Amino acid sequence: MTDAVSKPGYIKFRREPDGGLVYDHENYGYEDASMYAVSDTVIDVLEFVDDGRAREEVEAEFSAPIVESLVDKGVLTHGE
Amino acid sequence: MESEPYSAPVTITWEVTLGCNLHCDHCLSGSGPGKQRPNELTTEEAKAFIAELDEMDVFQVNIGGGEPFVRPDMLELLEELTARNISTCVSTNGTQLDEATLDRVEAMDPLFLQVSMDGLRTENDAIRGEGVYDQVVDALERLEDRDIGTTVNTVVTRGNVYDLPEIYDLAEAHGAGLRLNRFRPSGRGEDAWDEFRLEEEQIRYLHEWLEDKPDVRTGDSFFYLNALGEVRNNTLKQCGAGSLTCLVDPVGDVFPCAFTQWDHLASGNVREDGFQVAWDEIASLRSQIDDHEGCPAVAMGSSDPNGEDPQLRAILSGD
Repeated sequence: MTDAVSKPGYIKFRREPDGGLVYDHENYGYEDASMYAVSDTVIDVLEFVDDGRAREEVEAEFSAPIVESLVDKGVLTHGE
Repeated sequence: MESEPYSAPVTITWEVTLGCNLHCDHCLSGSGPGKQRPNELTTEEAKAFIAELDEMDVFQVNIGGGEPFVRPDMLELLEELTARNISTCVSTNGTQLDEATLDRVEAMDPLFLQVSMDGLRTENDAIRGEGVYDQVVDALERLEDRDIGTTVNTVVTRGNVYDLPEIYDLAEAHGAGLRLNRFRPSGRGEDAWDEFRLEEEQIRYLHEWLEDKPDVRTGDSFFYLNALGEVRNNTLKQCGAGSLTCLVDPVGDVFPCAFTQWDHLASGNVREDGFQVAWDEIASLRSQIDDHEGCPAVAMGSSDPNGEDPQLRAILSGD
């Protein structure tokens, strides 16, 4: 069975002039949110994953450590 | 705080109307029955604004008022936001959530509701009106039945601070989270400031209670620190007014946050200038906000408008 990764719906991201932002939050306000300033590569990964991709495909395009790190942070999750 | 402003806010608060069926004593925006402004954004103007938010990649929109659901087009606007996958959060007094409204709300994603409850029955109804507490509890039951993501929002006051454990239990019993907001001297809260603001002993009680409740959501820099003045956790509990967030009022004027709606901090209008222009301008106001430690709105609304947030100082100094 192919292991897939996807971006949870509550994770938002966008490019900024220098790198990008990843925002992790549900519900009202923003003070309880987590937000990370990230590199262009992370934004590239998130755009590539879109609604879900095979993990090995993402790892081949970028790298296994990058994917692992994003899964660890909850920015990507297993499954579609 | 970032040295370079972001291209767009991370999140905004959009007060869609000053109309409300309630007339709460501490209302931050001074809303109430008949308080709608004659030139509030029309449906078409509001939709154009939403399109610009989408274009600018704003992650999250917090809808407030007034009571948002007294706007006849509110559901239409929420559908417009969620269809664009903008995280949409609505702060409501909970009295307008009939079944037909909930049918449409239930179908929207990502959408979250925040229902106001400012105490148990006696305290809540003294502030928000007779019978409102029971209506809110009824709404919480119906929201739970439909599994609609809900948070109970409590503005912590002198009268309800010791009821927080029971409010927490009540929210939890309905599958809802609890979010605390600080009472601030804004709107009618300016007149009620001395009546409702926490005393120092209560500030310490509140922060100690929060230590045991890491799942309670909190707003503003006041909650960034614990009772010992230590950073509680690694989230965005800093003041983001004008840097991460801003406020758009019912006629489209843009301010750093909901509690700093003062003329000298206005930075443009979404209808006349477009939101991007207003956001770009707001960076120049940021220095006026940065001058205040803690919540600038509390500092600027207190007896020394150029000073720091006196309640935060109470935590830091322990006096």
